[in-house]
Amino acid sequence: MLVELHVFSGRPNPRWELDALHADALTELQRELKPSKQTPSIPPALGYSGFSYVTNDRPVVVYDGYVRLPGDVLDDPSFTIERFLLDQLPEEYQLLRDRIVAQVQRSRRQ
Amino acid sequence: MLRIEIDLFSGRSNPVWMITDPTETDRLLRSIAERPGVTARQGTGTSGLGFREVRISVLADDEARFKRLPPRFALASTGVKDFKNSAVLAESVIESMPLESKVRLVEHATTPLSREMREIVLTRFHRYLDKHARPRKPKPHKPPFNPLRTTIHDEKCKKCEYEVSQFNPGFWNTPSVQPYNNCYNYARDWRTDTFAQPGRAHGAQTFTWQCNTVSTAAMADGLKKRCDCLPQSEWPRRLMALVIDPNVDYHWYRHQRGGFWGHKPGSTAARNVDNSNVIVTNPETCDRGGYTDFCGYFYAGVSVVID
Repeated sequence: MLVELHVFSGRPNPRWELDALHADALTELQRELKPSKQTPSIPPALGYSGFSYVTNDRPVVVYDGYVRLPGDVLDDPSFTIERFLLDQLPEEYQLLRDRIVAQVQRSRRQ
Repeated sequence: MLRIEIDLFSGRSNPVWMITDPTETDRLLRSIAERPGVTARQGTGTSGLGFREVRISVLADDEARFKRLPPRFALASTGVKDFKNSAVLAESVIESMPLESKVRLVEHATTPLSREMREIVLTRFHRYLDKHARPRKPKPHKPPFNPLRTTIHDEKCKKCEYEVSQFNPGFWNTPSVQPYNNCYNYARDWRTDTFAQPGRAHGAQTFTWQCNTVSTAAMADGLKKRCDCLPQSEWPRRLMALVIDPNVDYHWYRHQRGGFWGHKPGSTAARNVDNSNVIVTNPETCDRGGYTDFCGYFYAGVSVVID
């Protein structure tokens, strides 16, 4: 499963492959989420604006505790998906990790 | 700015070149727009071996708009309604093939532009036309007028001029363009579809994200520091602003008509608002999130090549 972290403007965004084990774990985390009745947050122009990946042939966008799929919005108030994906971030992007973790912790949803 | 491709070869790269001269760009687009039925969608004509079509792509979002002309189209395709006039235009485009390209492209490694290449193309083209009517030469055309661009004096250095464009996010915010073009593409106003990087077109790309390194890389592409005035021959000239998220990333803005700045953060939509959703009237003071270092302003003339 190919994951993209949406964070850069000039440089290409970080992308990496999740192995089957982690991809299954991610799909399972997603399956546990419930539909949201709230409107998902709109990411800022510059800086961290979420993750995207494709699971079960459906494109998924995750940002600020909301998981958006075509026709669905899932609620992830504990940011389990974002935290999980941050833990899988490749070594060369660790500098970004701390910053994004801090941003998630400051989120207006918390 | 236009990209011209002669769809001809099978194994090697097709002959490709850029038309960077604004007068020539305008003249060609106008002459095509004046003749309904001469264009077709690229790749919708014959798909056999030999000459197939002349492909034209508009690369900037503020080229003069002409009715009926999409950003990409083909001439002399068997898919056009008015084949005869389309072939006339296609032949004039082929005859204008430069013998040496000002803009170096990857395709030139296998298919360099030359007198011989032009002859090869014309021969194949005439063979293709033998199945149809031979074209006549087109009439000369009017000089350019582009209502989407305005020349203004730089308020920071009155002796210098540059062009501001009508804000046109629709050009960029489409599925075939948005993911493949970034802030550098937008600010330079050149849709390369390569997620252009400062300096890469000239072997000077940097992997250190600081004001001085990114500025140096961009200047290798031909950008000039503000107040180092560009001549009128560099029309259209852009005013760009560079900011840095130290050691992480860079970002560019372009001054637009109306006094505000447009930008395109990465693969997201082009816009004219900052992180606080406020219209960007000053890139030095707008909300830029982590892009805390303001590096300065640059001019980019038509000779600036990015990739």
